Amino acid sequence: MAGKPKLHYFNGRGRMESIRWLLAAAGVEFEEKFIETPEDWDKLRSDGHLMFQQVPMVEMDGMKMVQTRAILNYIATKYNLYGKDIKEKALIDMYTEGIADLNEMIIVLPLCPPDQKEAKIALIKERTTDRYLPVFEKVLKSHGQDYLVGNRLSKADIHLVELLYYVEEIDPSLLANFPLLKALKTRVSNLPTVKKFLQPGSQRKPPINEKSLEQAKKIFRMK
Amino acid sequence: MERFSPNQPSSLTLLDKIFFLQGHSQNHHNNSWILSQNTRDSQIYGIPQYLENPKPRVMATKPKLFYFCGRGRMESIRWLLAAAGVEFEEEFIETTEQYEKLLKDGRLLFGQVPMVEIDGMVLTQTRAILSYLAAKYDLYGKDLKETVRINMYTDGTLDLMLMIAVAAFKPPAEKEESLALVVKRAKTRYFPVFEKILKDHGEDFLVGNKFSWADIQLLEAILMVEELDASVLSEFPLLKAFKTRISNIPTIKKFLQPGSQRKPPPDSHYVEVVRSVLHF
Repeated sequence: MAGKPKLHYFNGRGRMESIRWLLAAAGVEFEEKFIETPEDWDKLRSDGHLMFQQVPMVEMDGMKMVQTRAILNYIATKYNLYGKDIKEKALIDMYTEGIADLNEMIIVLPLCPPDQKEAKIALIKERTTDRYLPVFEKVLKSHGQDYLVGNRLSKADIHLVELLYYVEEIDPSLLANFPLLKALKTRVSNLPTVKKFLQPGSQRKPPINEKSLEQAKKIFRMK
Repeated sequence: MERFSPNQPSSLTLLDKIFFLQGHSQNHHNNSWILSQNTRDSQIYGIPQYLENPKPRVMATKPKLFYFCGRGRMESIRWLLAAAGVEFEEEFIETTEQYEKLLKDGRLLFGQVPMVEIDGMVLTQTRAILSYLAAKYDLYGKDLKETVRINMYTDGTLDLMLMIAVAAFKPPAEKEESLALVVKRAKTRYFPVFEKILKDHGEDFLVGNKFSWADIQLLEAILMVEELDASVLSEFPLLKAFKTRISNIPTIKKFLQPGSQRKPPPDSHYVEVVRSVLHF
């Protein structure tokens, strides 16, 4: 083993945050190398470390992995958070993809032009309460178990709880009609590894603010 | 509506054993037994035995695909099934009423298609479906490290193909710009990577010297981008050879014939149908 996994990204949530959550929940210590200047970004690409010239990139087990989903799936398999068989994995993947779709809307929100922001937020709220959360509430209700799939913690639970924190940040009342989801959130948050990650001073990142958004845009030379 | 029993017999049990994702634990099964030592072609070409002489697979029921009659997000799934030699049925969504019935019957988990009925499951989410099929048909590598490489490569090619799928719905000027960007990305971001991978190991397939989902999807992407710019492979000799080689695999050759379930590029009629059914 080469040592701790090393995460390459800018110092913010973005697409790396779900990877941080999963590693943390699995109890895996990791290091981070933040891209802080346009020069850092240029070097990372010109050194040929990024397969498709994109981050996230995670150095782990002798590999330089890119593509968020590929990375998450590797970690989940390695740390047994991916169900017990191919059918459980299919369910976990299906749930994860739905969660990722809503999470994507939230991730890109800071990049939205100010005049479109209100409409985007309204759409996120609608999707949350009408399309996504009811599905997961129903799943938990249908089997009455503590976790989404196979009566065992999986990446689907971790991704969902992460998402619930973001939903709460947007508007806590969005969770009002989802008691089982609230219970899942509490249950997963109390797992020792997750509890630790939720403490101040952990590697969990705060929501992006104006200043760090400007910095990120500068680094990646975005308009 | 057909009912699928979750416990219906299928060839799944054998394939479950070879599905390496049962863990890095003692349950790990080396799936090389699926390549018979007596089969010359399998050894030479590294393709799974069943792909040499494609026969309809013996299954209780065929997978059934629910989508519009066009490529969109379902095309990669069609390719994977076809390449694996799996016969499948399709139900094409043509009206709002059909779509609303699927929604009302609760068969679309997040209210979206693609949806595939397979092995007693009602699966949605393109990548979930693709991963399941890749694992089931032994197209996902022999161990976790091969799987992650396949995932990296397919995530990349899928990104590229989805750009094309989405471009169809843009107004003409934007659409042209998007498609030009696709060709640029293909030439500068994606194809150089795959050319280098093939060059570095000198093997016939992208991963593990064995035919996998990554090869199928790369061929699909190459053909799609060639439709936009026929000269796109001019700087990539190994990809040209790869394209020929993979196109000649019997199941894929069959899928590339006219009259197969492969769909043509999106036209204005397709866009119209999707817009009217999904109300956008």
